[in-house]
Amino acid sequence: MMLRPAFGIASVMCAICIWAENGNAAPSFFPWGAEFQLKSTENGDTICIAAVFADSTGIYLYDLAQGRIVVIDSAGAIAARIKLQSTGRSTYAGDDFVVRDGQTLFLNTIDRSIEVFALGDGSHVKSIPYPQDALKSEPKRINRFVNRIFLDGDRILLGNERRLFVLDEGLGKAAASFGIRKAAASQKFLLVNGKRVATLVGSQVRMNGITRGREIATRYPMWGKRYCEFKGRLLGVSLDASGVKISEIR
Amino acid sequence: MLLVILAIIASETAATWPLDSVIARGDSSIDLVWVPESANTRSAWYAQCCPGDSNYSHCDFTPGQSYTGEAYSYGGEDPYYLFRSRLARGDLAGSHDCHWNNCGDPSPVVTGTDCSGFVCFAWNVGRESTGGMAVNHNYAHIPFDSIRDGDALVKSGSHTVLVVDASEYPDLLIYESYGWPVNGCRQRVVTVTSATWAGYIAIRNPAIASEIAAGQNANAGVRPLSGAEADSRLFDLAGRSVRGRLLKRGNAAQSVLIVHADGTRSLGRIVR
Repeated sequence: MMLRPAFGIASVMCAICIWAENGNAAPSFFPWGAEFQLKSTENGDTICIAAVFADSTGIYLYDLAQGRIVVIDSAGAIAARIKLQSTGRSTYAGDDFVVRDGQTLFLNTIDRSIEVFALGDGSHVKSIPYPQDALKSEPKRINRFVNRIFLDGDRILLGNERRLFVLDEGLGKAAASFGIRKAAASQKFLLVNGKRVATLVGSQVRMNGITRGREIATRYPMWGKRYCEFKGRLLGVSLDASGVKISEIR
Repeated sequence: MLLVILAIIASETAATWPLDSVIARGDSSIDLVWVPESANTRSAWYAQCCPGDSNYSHCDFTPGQSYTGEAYSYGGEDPYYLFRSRLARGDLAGSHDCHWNNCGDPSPVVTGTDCSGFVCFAWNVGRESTGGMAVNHNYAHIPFDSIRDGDALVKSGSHTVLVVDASEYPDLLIYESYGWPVNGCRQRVVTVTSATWAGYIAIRNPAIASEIAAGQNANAGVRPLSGAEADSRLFDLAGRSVRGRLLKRGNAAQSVLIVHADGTRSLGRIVR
């Protein structure tokens, strides 16, 4: 059980939230070594945060290096740390994730399942299969690969940065009524949050077609989505030489 | 006699290895579903090689649990079919550099493949280290913006991956054998112009390059088909008759790109 009292942790971590603004700004900075550590893999990769998600409660960072979720509150401080039970691949739970109804849903792109964990204590609840053939009609292999998970209300959207489908959880298939949602040519889906869709066009980030700012560069790669929407603000996560940075796109 | 031998060697060297076969070997490695038994996950060997290491003093895998993708094993080069048969024989599944460093080459007791073992298998060439691949004069070094399906990215002493779809450059679909924390063969989309890939070089196996001209992402060197060609009979590279729609014709004589009924594409031959 790694969930800890929000305000006790918050009071400690506020000291390093260098961009916190008036208590309602989530953008934060966490230097390497205190809360997060970069880890080098034997493949020469450097990993730490792999994906991000946000809802009205907070910003959730998936710390791949330590196999946990770290929750950032609206003050930009750490509200909770949730160690995830291993599902058989060390600290890897998935490439991307969402939070729904007190559970984290990880998209395990290797074993090709959605792994569900309780948000309270990180225990593994169940595995949900997802269809392997939903995007099989796509001519390009890169567009058939499922490596993104989003939420549209309670519905799960799966796909990648160019193609999305709705998962019919009861049938374990793509919902036929939804079809395949395609990003426009030269665009990529960065975030789908209900009816709000952030896309990348060139180096510009757009929300529902309106330019919000430039794409945020990251020195070290993330495996899932790097953007989230928190209290109406579009945020991006980057990992650079100094630490983990959460910035607003504007 | 010597000339005959040299001619045979030369013909072997020049032999092509179809892109479809490269991808098929990659598919087989990442799609392999397997369930380790207790014999494949015995802790004693791991604990002996990496005592006290929280990650490596035990096997990566849990008996009875289903996994997809061949296991990562540092120094390993087992093809997916050998991996499967060695598991059935009771060999251990997967290892890391820690085990190699402390116990030497684990291949006699451990099955799996590492990054270069995987790429060399897909390429149908003898196993080399990443350092060897990076300096191998048989492989052309190419600029990133010319990367094609079937090429590899390699960083000496570090990692190598197989490029499976380069049609959305600089985003690439890659196949790789990845160590901790994934511990197996997988696919991933990477942006090759990002800082992570700055230390890598792109290399091309010419045995594959000759077929890529009419391959899946090869828009160079192909042209639309004429009406007469569209009515032609299609064969796969093994000479079997196949049904599908002919998409493009390559520079190589009779080399064509076939679109099958399910939307997949493959390289083939044409007979009018």
